[in-house]
Amino acid sequence: MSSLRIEHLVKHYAIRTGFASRQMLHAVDDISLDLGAGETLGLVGESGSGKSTVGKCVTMLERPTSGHIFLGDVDLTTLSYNELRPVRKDIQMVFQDPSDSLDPRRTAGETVMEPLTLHHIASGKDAIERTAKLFEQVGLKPEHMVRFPHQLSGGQQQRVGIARALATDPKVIVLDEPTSALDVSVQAKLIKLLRDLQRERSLSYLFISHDLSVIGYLSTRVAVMYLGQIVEIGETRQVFERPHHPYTMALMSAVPASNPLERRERIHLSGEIPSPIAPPNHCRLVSRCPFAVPACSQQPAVLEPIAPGHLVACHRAVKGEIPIPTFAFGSTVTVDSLEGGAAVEGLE
Amino acid sequence: MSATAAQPEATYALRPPFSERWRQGMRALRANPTAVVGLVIVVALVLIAIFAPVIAPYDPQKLDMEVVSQPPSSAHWFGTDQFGRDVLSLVIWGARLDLFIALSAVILSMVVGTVIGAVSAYAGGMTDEITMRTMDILQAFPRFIFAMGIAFAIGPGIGTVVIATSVLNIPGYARLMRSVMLPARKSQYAAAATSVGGSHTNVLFRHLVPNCLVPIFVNSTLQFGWAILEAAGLSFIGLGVESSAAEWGALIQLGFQDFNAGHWWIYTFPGLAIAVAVLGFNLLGDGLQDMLDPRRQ
Amino acid sequence: MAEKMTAAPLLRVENLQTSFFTRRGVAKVLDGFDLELRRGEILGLVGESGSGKSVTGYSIIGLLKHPGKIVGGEIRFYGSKGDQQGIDLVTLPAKQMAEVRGKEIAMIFQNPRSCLDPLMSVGDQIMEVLKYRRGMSKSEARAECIRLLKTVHIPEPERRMNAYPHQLSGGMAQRVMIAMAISCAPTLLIADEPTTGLDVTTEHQILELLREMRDVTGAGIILITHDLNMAAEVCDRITVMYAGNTAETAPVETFFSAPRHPYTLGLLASRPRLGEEGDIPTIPGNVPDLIQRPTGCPFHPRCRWATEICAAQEPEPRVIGEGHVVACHHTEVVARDVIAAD
Repeated sequence: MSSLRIEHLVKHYAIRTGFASRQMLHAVDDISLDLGAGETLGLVGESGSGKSTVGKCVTMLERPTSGHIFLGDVDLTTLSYNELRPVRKDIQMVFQDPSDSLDPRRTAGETVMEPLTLHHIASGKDAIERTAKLFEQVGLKPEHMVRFPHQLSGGQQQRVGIARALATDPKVIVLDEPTSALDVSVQAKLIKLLRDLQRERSLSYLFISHDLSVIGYLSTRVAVMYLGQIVEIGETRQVFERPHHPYTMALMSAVPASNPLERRERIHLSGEIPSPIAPPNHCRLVSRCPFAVPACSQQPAVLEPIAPGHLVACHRAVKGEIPIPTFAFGSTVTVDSLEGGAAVEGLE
Repeated sequence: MSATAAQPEATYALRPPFSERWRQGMRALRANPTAVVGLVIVVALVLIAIFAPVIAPYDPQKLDMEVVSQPPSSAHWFGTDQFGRDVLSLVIWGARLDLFIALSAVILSMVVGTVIGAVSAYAGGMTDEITMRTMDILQAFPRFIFAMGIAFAIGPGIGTVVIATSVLNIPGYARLMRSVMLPARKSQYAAAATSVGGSHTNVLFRHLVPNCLVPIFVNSTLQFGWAILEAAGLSFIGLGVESSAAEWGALIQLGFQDFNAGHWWIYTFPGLAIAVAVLGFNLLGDGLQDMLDPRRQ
Repeated sequence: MAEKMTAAPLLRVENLQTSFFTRRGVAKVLDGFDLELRRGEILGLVGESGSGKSVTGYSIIGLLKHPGKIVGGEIRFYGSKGDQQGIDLVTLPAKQMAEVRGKEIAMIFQNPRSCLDPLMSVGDQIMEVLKYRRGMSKSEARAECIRLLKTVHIPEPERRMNAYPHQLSGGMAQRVMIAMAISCAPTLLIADEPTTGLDVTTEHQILELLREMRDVTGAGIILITHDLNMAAEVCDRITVMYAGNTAETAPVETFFSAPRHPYTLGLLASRPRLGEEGDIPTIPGNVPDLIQRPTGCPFHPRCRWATEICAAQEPEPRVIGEGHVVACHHTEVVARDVIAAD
């Protein structure tokens, strides 16, 4: 039974492009996902891929243009703002920028206690004691409760953000790049905390990140987004070890080596991610893809299974027409073989 | 934010103890001599206003035909006006009336303007558009013409001065609040307040507005000075309080009637009082700007 | 790469002390920091926030802002003139410093878009630098500008010249910044987190570009970063900073194969790796308060090898291998333990 199900999610923004002209920015274009109980689904993509918009839509901070979001049996998209309020207890969010996500005029304790009182979970002394307990659970001391956000370090701020999300004992937590603003050593501690909390409370995480290492470490499954669409989805190991979509391959080969002996060959995409305003009605990677053939510009690429649970949206990959590189998943990452039309550049 | 205050018997506190906040406040004051000077002036003015009956050497409305239009002397430090009233006493009592007018006008326009601006920015869309265009219209009114209209409707007096000054200041506050609110609305802490299940009122008035108040407060202290000037101006052209009242603007107008006679003391001293008051509030405002930001402690 | 490198030093920072005079007290952000950069070398300056790595960059280029101030030490710069003595940038008068800053030392920052004037097209901005710094005529500047944009691989430079900063992606804007930085052929380029906020694929392109610029211009590059993986990608040598001190300096291969400073070990271990199971080892504790610095070795409160001497005495940097310098009292013990653990 999935705890969160996204069906055909679409989010368009109207953008003013001239004095009286408006165009649609296709931030998210028809995405379906489901998240099992106690599972972590990683959502990877570069900026402009629409991954953060998915996070905002799932938590209903932005209303989807169309599509459905089921939390348990409830379709969130049919609820009004006020009807959503009690439901929000079950789906919480941890934000990207810890310093901006805490109200600067409230102490850490007040911030964490707010959801408790809002949802009538506890009040008065009981609420304060529960808050103190939450602080301990995320590795802070109750003394930190009287601190204002600017008196806390980045890692501590993000712990407060996590405590706030945990306060209502949610089923699903959406984590939008929770560690990207933090230093490596702090990041490692937070990742460990998130994993421990998940085990204790059987939480489901939708983990949004551009950092493949972090995603690879935490996620059971991973979905790769490009220009508002999912191009590949599957078990983390499947996707990262044998990426079938050229975009996933490029992402994987762009992961910096963890030591200089592993500096390696790259799969290059030409240019940069195109504008999501009026995207083409065919495979969206065509303009940058080293494997593109004219047929790719004929029709949209849809997700098709290539192995159980492993889906790819690429015309050529599903027919086995492009070479699939193997990335050693675990310690070192290298490109074994690459032939065909790939633009491969040697380094030294 | 009082609802979240810790109960004394709780083992854990949610707010730093008052002593610590007091210490921080004092430290911020010490680092900010401008604000201290402003504060001293403002507090002195308030004390003068409160204790006017005690401080003033004469009854300000007592006419004494023996000492008409006398220059400053040891008996009458600021001289007397053409009715023999003591100018010093008039200036002291004037602090009462002027501070009252300025305070009520500023508070009225601040509260109304802030709410309008906050709601407008938060709601966005058509609400925002309509509200802000209304503000434009209001702001486009020439101030004194507007005051004349109000004076025509309810007659000259303190009420006219307060209403005219406050209504015309509402657009300024609304605009200021809106401009601070627009980026705040996009902040992650606002999104977080929504995502934990807060109502619109909660998100707007418990989280966003408190974080947008610093410029509003600063602006208000500056507006105090302006409001005094404006009230004095309205009285000066005869739309405010009656010309015999102990009010700085009215006094200046009185003094001007005898301008050619060289009776400079009648208009100079109330003029100086206005200048000092405006200066005090402005210094305080500048100082507050630095102090009120929690991130700068 | 090694053969391209000449042994001649380009920059030598010795015992640099930079303090910030804040309301709370004096923060010794750099406390006796040493660094050496050779010509044509990319040196990675790695550390966490608060380690003083950015302040180092600003100190070198003379752009420290109030309340920061260099209170001691020497920054000896052996510029393009091949000067044997070099010039001390700390004592250099402001006017001459401005000269050096424009022509010999350039810096690129994170958030490239905020470094560009939003009201001026990028072409005009580059041309202005060329006209001012190199005294070019308008047509010369235009031609040079196009050449520069080509050098940093901006497609259709003639058209992109007319673009305004907001019309550029983050990657493009950083390329423009790099073009501007190399416009006066500097001998030293300081890149302060140049890829923060950029995507992985773009990040990689910018790093390649930096390396290419080094190959083309022969400039020395200081790459300030918090990302060890990134340093591994492009750097020839790496210096790890902790609380304003040099913890460890080593050639990149040695750095990753035989790291010896406990802090470096902690940093290296705390990187999550693709597909790795089990806990990520973490460094206990937090970065110290620079106003109340720990006595002795600044890392000792977080170090598992710490003994009394660590709290009492600041470790002197010691050479333990070729180009490998470590500031730790217990290098031998650490080395033994690390080798045993492998």
